[in-house]
Amino acid sequence: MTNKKNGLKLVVFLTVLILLVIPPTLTYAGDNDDDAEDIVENLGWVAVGAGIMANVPFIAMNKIRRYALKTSSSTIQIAKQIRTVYKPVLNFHIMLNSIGYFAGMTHGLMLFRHLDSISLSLAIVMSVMMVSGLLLKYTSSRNSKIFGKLLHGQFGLVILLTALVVLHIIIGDD
Amino acid sequence: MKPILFVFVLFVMLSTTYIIPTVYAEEEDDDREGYGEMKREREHHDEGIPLGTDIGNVILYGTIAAIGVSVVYTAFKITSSKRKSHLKS
Repeated sequence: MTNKKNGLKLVVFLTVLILLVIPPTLTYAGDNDDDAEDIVENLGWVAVGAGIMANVPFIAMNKIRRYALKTSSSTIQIAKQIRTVYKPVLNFHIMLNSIGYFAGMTHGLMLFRHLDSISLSLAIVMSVMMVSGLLLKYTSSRNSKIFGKLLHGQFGLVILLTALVVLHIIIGDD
Repeated sequence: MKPILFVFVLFVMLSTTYIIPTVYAEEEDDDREGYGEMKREREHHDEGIPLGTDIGNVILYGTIAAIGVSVVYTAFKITSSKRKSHLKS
């Protein structure tokens, strides 16, 4: 029952978010105004900043925890301490990544007329990471959870995402 | 799982409903006021790697292939670990 309520809340929240974000986005997309372009560019930087802030500490924390568990018994205390802050850091990671994803997608929709292959590839990779994250967080089936966990933590996808972000910034600046 | 599926379907439906008219709205109309000026501005801006070019296609299809490989690899890992656990028991 609680799951159903939470699901309904999520549906309402996402619907309202989409309805609030997309129409103004498309209105701006038709503008050639310099101020509008600055806003759109800043939105892209918000996405990049949110992504860095959400992922770098989280990945570092996980690596330290794994390293502490592997090395010796003296470092297990560190792993235990990290475990106590894992949940808040995970929530922070989810929250900032969601902000970054929606900021990035809004930025992409606003600059739809300048769509290039790097931007499209970036949008696809971001969506795959977001969907695997949602699968990991909200699914109850064991197989889906394992699938989401393995896909979300793929090192290759992280490298691909980083490379595409860097390429997108370099080409966007030119 | 059902509400989540519903969210995804809703999300995809709304996204396509908004994006498709935008794509059509982008089509060129020569009679539009200030058309030449807008076209020049657009040409000035489109300096990235446009869709449909060789490099553009390589990047795009490479990304899609990488995602496909990751998904297949993940599925393979799950099935192989399940097979191993079945053999042990």
